[in-house]
Amino acid sequence: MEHIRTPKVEQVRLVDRFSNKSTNGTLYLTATHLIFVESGSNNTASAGQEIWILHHHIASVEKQSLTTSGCPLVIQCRNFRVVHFVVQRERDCHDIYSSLLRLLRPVHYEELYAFSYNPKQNDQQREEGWQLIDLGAEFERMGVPNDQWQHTDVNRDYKVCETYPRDLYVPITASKPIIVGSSKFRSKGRFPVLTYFYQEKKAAVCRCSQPLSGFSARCLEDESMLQAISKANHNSRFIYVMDTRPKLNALANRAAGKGYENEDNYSNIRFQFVGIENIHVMRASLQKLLEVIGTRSLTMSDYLVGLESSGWLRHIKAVVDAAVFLTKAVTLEGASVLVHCSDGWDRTAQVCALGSLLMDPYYRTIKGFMVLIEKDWISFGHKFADRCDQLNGDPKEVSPIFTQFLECVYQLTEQFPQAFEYSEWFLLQIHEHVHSCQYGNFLGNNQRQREELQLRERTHSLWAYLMSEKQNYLNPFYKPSYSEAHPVLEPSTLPYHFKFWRNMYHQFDRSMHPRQSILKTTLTLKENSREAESTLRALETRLQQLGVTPIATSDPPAPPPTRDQRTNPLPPRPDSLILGAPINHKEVQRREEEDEQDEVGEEAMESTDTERTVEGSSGSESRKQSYGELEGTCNGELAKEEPAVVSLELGVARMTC
Amino acid sequence: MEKSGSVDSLGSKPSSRQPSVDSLSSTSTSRSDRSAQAKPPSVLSSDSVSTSAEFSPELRVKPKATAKKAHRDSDKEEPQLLPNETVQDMAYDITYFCPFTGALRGTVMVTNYRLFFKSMDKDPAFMLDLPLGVVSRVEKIGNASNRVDSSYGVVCKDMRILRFSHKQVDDTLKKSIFEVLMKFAFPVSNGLQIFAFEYGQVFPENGWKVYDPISEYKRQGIPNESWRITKVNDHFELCDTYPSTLVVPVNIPDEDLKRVAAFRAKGRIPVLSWIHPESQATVTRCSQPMVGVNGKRSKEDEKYLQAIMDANAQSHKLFIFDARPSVNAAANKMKGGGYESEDAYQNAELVFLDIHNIHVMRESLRKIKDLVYPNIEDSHWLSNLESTHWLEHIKLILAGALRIADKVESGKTSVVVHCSDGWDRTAQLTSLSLLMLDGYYRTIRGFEVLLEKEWLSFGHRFQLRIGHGDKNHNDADRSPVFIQFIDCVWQLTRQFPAAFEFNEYFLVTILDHLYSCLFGTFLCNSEQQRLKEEIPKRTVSVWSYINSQLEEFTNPMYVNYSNQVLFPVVSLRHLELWSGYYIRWNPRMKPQEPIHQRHKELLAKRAELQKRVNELQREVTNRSASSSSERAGSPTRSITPVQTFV
Repeated sequence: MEHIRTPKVEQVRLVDRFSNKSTNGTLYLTATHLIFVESGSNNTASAGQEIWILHHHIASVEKQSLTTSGCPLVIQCRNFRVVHFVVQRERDCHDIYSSLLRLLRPVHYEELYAFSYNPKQNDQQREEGWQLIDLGAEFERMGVPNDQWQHTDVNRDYKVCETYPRDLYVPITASKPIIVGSSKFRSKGRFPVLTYFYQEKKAAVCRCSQPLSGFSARCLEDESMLQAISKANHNSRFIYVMDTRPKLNALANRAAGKGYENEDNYSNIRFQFVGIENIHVMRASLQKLLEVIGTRSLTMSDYLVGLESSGWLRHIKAVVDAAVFLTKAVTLEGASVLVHCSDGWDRTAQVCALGSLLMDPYYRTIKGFMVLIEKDWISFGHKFADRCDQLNGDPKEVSPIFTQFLECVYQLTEQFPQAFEYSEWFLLQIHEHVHSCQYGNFLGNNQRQREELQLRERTHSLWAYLMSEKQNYLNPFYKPSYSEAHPVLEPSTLPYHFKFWRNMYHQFDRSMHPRQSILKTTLTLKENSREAESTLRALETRLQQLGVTPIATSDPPAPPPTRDQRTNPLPPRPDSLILGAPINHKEVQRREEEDEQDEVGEEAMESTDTERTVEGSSGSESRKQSYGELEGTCNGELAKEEPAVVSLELGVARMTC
Repeated sequence: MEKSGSVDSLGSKPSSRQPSVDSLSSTSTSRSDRSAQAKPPSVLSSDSVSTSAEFSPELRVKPKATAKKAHRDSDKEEPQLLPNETVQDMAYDITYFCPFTGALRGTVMVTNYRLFFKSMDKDPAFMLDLPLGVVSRVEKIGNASNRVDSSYGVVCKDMRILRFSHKQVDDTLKKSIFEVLMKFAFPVSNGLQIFAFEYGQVFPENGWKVYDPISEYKRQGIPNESWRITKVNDHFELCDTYPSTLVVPVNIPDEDLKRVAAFRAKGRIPVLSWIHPESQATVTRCSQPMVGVNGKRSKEDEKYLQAIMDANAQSHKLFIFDARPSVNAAANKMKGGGYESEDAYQNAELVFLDIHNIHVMRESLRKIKDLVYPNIEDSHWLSNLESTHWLEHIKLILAGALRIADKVESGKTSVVVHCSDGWDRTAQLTSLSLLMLDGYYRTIRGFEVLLEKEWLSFGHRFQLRIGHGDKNHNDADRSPVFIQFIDCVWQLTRQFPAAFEFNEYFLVTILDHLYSCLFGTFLCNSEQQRLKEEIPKRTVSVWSYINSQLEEFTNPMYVNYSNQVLFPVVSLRHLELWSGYYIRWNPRMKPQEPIHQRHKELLAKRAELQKRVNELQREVTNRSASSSSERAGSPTRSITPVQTFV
């Protein structure tokens, strides 16, 4: 490609950002990736670690001033990977730097990876992938349309609101003139529509943008629109109107001819500010957080104070608090709620999605979570292109709103480990791909734009890919019966419950990984059970072949085990990228055998010098190697050949494809 | 008097564990459920919401049933009393100001072991069951404007402050029940006996047999060619705060030990705590040398440390870890103490670990208490937490222990650990590094041995640090050193969830009985005192109770990592406040859901599958032996990984 000046630079050092360790290797620049390949170390014949960085993941490249050892190049990624290269010759460094600058700022959608990414699927498979999520079916699942709510085609051609989807649901009594009138009174034409229907109480969660009320303006259609929403719910005489902004911001908006609903003009509404800060505050907050945790040799005080002053966890708490308020209003009081912020695509999306997640166990399953994102984020026009900086756009529009949502969900999974079908890795994987631009789902700012780009025809769907890897994202603690007993989650929002999400922000910092993980231990256990089960089946078949009917305590006649199960016991899982410790005991034992002469465990091997030990150090050599193998499989074509059970980490590693 | 504390009731305990709760209203359900079926040795008073909940998920799905049951039980007026527990006083119409649910009126009963409050205001009844040993002080809250009511605050050692009030007693001769309470809460100050001496429960296990120094040293391979067991302290003549059994280098005669003792604070000479099974590197502990301002030296002490170094052929160095900040160590010279100068001790390297003294720790934990009880402020949580410096102290202690473990394991070098007297920070450091180094101590029994050895026998002054039955709550000798150690252990279990045989409930139970004075284990300051008071004869050991129901305290995730050395990441990103202990009284502090339980289920399922596989396996082998034998290969192979696992 014309932008690549130097496709390969040798003798590049990769420096760990928390310790003084470094590795040497070669840097390759391709049309889609920046690849670092560690030079084969002396003790192993195979090549070492590989790091693949997708250009779209790169948030910034910084060339630092020349030092005696070379020219440092610091790359910050949107998935919170930070890599620090030292290139020997300044000219090479500059070439890479300027090539990257061009490559990571695509101007046209067509330059995005999704348009060139080809996972070797035929058109039919791709089409099926896109059909996986069907929002019409989702509304049917909620029980809509029904006697109070109906489908409207008023936005069929994106005429009424160009950032809304075509298919919308409104109260039966909201006629077309009311809708159109209301939309004229709402910022960007985003009039109140249904996003979630709580069947048990017939209460609705609706969303919109702020009214153009200014200091005194009124709109009768808008008032009757709210009235219609209220009328559609016989359980409650009033509806809540949640303005998710801080009151001050809403007041300021009044001066610009926007603002919030006046309780005097709207009959039977209860108006409530929630106080979630805007996208600029969130962007700055995350920036501060990253600065704090990126500091080397951080003290406990600096860490805690820095964490607090970044405000990040406070903002997370604010979003969860808002969702809890919404949930209580709907499930306990049975009242309908209308949620808005300024434009109704950031905070509104967060609160509606999180509220639905608390109310409906379906959204806590893997498929359901995809539906939720598709509904509240993608279809209702969260501006992914702007917020995630997909094209070279306005930096003031960039903000980690969606990341924040994922983190809220993560904090909930920590409080309710049994309630979610997916584990943390699912959230991380989604986050990875929101920024990777590898799949079409998150491209563009709204449905209309996506149709213009013909994404369904020209790109692949992430959901199909994630679904095919479903087993990697399962939470071993998930208990469907828990959700039956607790359909509505009531999280505690004590500040104590909001903890720094280590695996998100330190996902790529090996030295920060825990030594043992409950998640992994349990996964191993489950896998063992599965193995035992398949062995059981194999044995039963064998007995049958021998002409004996096994004692019938077991489940229905097992299907003949596949060749896979019988001949290949599951391949040993590679060491974890994130979880650190060995995944199963076979490995532990193997290692113990290797280390028989002294009983130092794998944790100990790396800790020969005091300083590193004290700060907690990074992975051992053997671990690094398998990590390298992992990332080595980084081309999509191989996906098909993976064994039946793939490790979680493989998924994570391949994210950069 | 009701003799209820039978072993049978212990067995039924798991079923009466409270469910974890989602809202305030159901909290009281579980509370009353818990105490209505009062289980004798349970010390967790009924306010406890979070600690044990995670181990009993079966109850959470049927709160209604338990509520009913509790209600029925609550018709009974009194809790079930322990053996030899007698009611001392009762008072009606008392108000308890619960910080979480508001004021409640009810009855208070004081026995020689507990305070029991019960209110019928709520349905089901609300109960509060507090062992008197937990009481730190009772203060009358003056209220000049209101002469009708008298208010009392019961400040507890386990983070709580309970507030009660009742009508002014008309009869001036009659004492308030809280004055009665004070008498029994501080038996030592009032010339009474601590309840542990009266509690006569018999358990199937005898916890006093858990630790036998000779067999523990034998487990480590001692005596050997370099180390011997000495009886020089048999009658506590050498050092009255040390145990009678000590391990010293072979080539130092008992006579020299006495001279070394003269040079070490309180006569606490360096003795062996642990020896590496392969490298022979050792962890030894002692008190500070009496160097003083003049830089006194002791030939015997220098020779002694040389002997410790020589006992390890792998290394020609010796590391001396002084737990204190160097400033404090230097300041100790004024009082005759100090630290080893590197001139006097050839080949020794002195390292200061910067851990602060008992007063700093006491203050730090007090701030934690202010922070988390009764309610946590919504704003500034993290900076408030920072200002307590508690996690910073935890980090320093863990980092120190890690350095010690690393020197011994990776450096194959012997280490000497001391602080000032060698019974606080030294105990923390040696026991933590031993936990990292030796998988035996990570089992339940091993951990009990560790506590008996490093803390109890080596004279951590539990009586002074905790102040059992002593009303002098401002005593400067009190300090949460042991709690801090348990906190550090908890931090380790967080990082290595599969490496410890015991669970969080085990740690919490130990801390609860540290205060309860139900068991004799944590009474007195030293082995000598314990023998003099005949503690093992006259009281029950907490290990009797724990070892009689190990199931409750077992971590289902545990796999035997006994040959592994644990090197934790002491990064601040991995340390957190132990909410399961410090914040457990807050009903909003919801417990982690029972993932342990889920893990247990999976284990059971696997065991069952395994059994079935084995059965079929046998069947297949039998059959195929008679018919064609060569094809049986493949299924067998796929079993192996499962088998190695169990």
